[in-house]
Amino acid sequence: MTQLDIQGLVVSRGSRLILDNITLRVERLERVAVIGPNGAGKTTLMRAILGLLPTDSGSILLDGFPTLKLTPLERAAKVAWLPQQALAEEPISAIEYIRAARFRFGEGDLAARNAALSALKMVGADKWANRLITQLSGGEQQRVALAALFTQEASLLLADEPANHLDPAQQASVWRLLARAAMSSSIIVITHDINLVPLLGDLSKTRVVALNQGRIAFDLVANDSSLPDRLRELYGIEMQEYGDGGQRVILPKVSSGCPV
Amino acid sequence: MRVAGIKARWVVRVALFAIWLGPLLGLLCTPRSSNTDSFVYWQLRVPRVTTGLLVGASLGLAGAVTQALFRNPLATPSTTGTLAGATLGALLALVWGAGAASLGLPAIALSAFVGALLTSAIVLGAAASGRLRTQDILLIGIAVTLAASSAATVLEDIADTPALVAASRWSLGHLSQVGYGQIRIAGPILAVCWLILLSQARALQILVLGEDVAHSRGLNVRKARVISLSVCSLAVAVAVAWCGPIAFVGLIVPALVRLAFGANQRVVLPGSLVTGAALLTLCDALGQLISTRHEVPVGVVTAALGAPALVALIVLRNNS
Repeated sequence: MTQLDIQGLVVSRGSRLILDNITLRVERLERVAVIGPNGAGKTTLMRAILGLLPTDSGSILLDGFPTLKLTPLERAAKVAWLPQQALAEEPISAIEYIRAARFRFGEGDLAARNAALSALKMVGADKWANRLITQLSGGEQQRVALAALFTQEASLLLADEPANHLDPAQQASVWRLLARAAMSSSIIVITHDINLVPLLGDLSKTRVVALNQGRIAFDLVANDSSLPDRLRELYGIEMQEYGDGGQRVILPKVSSGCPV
Repeated sequence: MRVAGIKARWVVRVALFAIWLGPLLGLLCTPRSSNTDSFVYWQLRVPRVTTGLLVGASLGLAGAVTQALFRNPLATPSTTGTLAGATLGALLALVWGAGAASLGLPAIALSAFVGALLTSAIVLGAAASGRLRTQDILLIGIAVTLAASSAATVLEDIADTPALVAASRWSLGHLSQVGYGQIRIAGPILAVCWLILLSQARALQILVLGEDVAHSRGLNVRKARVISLSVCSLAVAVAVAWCGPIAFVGLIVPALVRLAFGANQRVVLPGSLVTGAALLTLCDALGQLISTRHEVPVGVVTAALGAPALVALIVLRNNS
């Protein structure tokens, strides 16, 4: 059964078309990076998958079930979400925050606590279990948010710019943790940094899906050689591939002035 | 910074401990009559302290639930229209000259109860529609509060003097004139409301993290809102119809508990229940002790203590 099957999805707000005829399939254990300019509809796509907004037409199937027909509990077993600015300003401890993500299990105190602790261990944050989430640094907060994402044990994970605003070391560790989670779940990551995608694992098994103005601009395997050209079309600036056989990076070209 | 934070926490914990002794003060020290024979004790003090416990617990718990529900420390039954509706209902009953007992309850209480439920129903309807954001529902609550208050002002304008005196007495909030009869009716209703609200702790804990996140974690947000808000309104309507709109308990009690024991809802809800019960009994005892000749209504005491306490709390929190 396909994990996620989106057919002809249209979402509009007022007269503005946010998502325009999106068709996207994600198979079990597949890894997908979603890129695109600001306002392209990336976050809206995630919210639609989560059943958080009404759709105009088209269908979104999770494991073959329409997402809007699922109860919140059923949906929470199929898809978990790491939103941008995930952590609330509520002064609760990290462990309580993660326990709350176990809601769907309706389990006893001890079981929830143990599950939350092992999720904290997995992201290397167990020493902060009793600290308030409001007192953690940005990188620490994002680890706690990731632990909450994982502890929901959904079969599809959605991460919206998970490494935004973090230093390079923290960015790398967030992506590595996502790569680990991707061994047991399908994963869709929104990112602006195409060069972090290799951290998800084997490029030949990762897809890059680009959104532009509510449409899918391209859908390529991450090591496709035409990627730099397609990125240039997508962002409208010159992009250049640097590096050799080892690690390639694609960056805006320095010499040709970027449009300001 | 950290030292100051721990200090603030301990200051509030000590204050809470003092508040928890309130019911004892109410049982042992309230005068009203110099002889402390068993009639005074069982027919005056015990029902009065029991009323204080029931009403205070309901107001404290309702305040905590409302704050979590609206993710706003200022959200209380006063801002969701419940108290304003009760006041309007009580005034209506007074102005139409009702004073006679109906259904075993005084007409004022019954009318206040209906008023509280009607205004809450408007806010509840907004919450149940499922299309509005949390902040919008709170705004509707404030709009309902303002509308009910201005309607009450019009009523006061056309009311005759005896009705006005009775209305102002009711609106000050007091725990006297309550006997076992009322406790037998209201007690079980309130107890059921508490149990339902306490059972919502897990739902409220993920709701305070944001409604979209709560939804994605498996919570039926609309259902949780409707259950919490309707049961909250029912509890407050019963409490207020009985004793008048007692302010500040719903605002200050959850704030105290959060500062002393953290924001975990599984602590905040039962903590606010216990602390609200103790605080209202304490304030009522103080109201009787301040002046033996003319007792101060409990609503006045809660407001007089609540206002400075709230300011102190904000200062304490910002220091930590």
